[in-house]
Amino acid sequence: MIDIQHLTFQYKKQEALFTDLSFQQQKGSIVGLLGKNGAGKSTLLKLISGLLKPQVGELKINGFKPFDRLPNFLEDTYMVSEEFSFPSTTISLYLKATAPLYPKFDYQKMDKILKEFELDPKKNLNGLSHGQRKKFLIAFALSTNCGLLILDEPTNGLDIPSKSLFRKILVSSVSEEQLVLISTHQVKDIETIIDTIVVLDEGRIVYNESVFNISQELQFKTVAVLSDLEKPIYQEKCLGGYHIITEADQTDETEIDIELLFNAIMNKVTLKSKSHVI
Amino acid sequence: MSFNNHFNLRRFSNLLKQDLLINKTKYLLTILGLGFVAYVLIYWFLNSNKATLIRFQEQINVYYLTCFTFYMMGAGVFIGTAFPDLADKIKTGNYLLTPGSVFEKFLVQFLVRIGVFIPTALGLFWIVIRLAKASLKPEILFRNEFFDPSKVPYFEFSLLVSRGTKLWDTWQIIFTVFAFFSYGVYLFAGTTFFKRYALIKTVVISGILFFSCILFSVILSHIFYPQETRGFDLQLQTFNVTENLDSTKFSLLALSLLSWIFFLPLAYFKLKEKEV
Repeated sequence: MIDIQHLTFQYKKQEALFTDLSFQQQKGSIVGLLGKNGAGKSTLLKLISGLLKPQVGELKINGFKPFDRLPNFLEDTYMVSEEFSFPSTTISLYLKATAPLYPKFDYQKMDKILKEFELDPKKNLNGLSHGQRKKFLIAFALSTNCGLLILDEPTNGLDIPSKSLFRKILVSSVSEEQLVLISTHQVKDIETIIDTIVVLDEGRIVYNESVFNISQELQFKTVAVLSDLEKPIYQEKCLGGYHIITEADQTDETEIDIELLFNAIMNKVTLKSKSHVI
Repeated sequence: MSFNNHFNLRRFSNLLKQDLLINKTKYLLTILGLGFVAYVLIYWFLNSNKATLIRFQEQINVYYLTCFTFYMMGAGVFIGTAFPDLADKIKTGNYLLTPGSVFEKFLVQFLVRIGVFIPTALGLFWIVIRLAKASLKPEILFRNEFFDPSKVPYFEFSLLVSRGTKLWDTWQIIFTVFAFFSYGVYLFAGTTFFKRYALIKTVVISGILFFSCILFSVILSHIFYPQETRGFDLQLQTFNVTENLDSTKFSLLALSLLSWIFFLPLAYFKLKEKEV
């Protein structure tokens, strides 16, 4: 699905953002793309969607070079940007005008998601609040049934019930034939839905691991005191003790604390794993 | 690379339908607004020049041409605001990722802004200017001159290229028609070059280019014909290309006939290489 080999990219008059970046990802996953501010998450998503042209290296999505922006590629890719705008039309008119451009568009799914998000098709898009418009955009993106869905900060602007609804709808809408790439700072919003964690830092993919593998190899705990028994790989002081990452034992499987994992990666801690890249 | 990657009738019609559904009100208001403003201004212009029309009846050709030129400037605003989404970074991203080939997106805008709009605008002008002329009332002017509007001929497009009852030379007619068309295509192409205020920037650059060419020619005239050239005079070395066409006329004709062929592909490739 996504095949990036030795990609180099830099904006004009700036230092290179990516040098020799390589990344592969197959369909059937919901990938969380994490990184610090300015790490290049949005730029990477723009490169993948075809809004930017890579300077060196090869970038292919399902065999297409994204920047060629061929219709067959565009029909199967949908990007929900962090910032977005709509024409001043009603939801139903927007659907009537835009949905036919996506051959796999599912109108029933759209109706269902609109109802779940409590959006009235007769309402003008520009009369909606920012959160409501974001919900509409997410609903539209999911209904296109595109093979590649790119969501840049999808939960920004959503209220708490909408965030949980978003997670529920996303998980129930995405099929094995799709790849969802979610870039976010708000890791708590997506930690229950992603099945692969990718971390971008200093122009490289520094971590790329499935949630299943992480939970097999690492444990995430909160302890009152650090004892010799725990031997943490990484620790962070918190109220009432420590958040720690330890090697997994055979008996216990813990929930992944993505924030802690992310901080460990940013602190260049070596996390034992068979396949992750550091 | 297959033809389907560049053009597919289903995709093209969907793109065109999308544009028309979303912008239909804007397009309708533009046409109506253009017609209304043109009617008011043309009526005011003809009405305030009645005295001249009594004395110099052939002057109507010049007036009609003046009205037409200003009207086409107004029409140029619509052409020069093609690809409206490219004026905004967020909308540009949405537009570029809309499923459709670059050629189809280009064709939709060309069709809406030039292919359909120009014939519609010309038809509207014909109606509006005739209405404005029909609205003129007979009256006695301040020197007891009687203004009879029935003596003023109704507008016909042939009057734009006539001197009295005689048509202009063929090269002049072709030059004028293609000069309007090429400038329209130039304005259209400008929208793919500039993000904001594309129309203003395009017009300003055309002005700069025009005056730079004049200045360059003046400088060359001073260098090569120092005795004959005074001030901002131009000395052009002309020779006959054909029996009725000298090299200066030929150059002007070639410029108006061919420049649109240069601007269209330029706009296409600029759109194709657009990044956000």
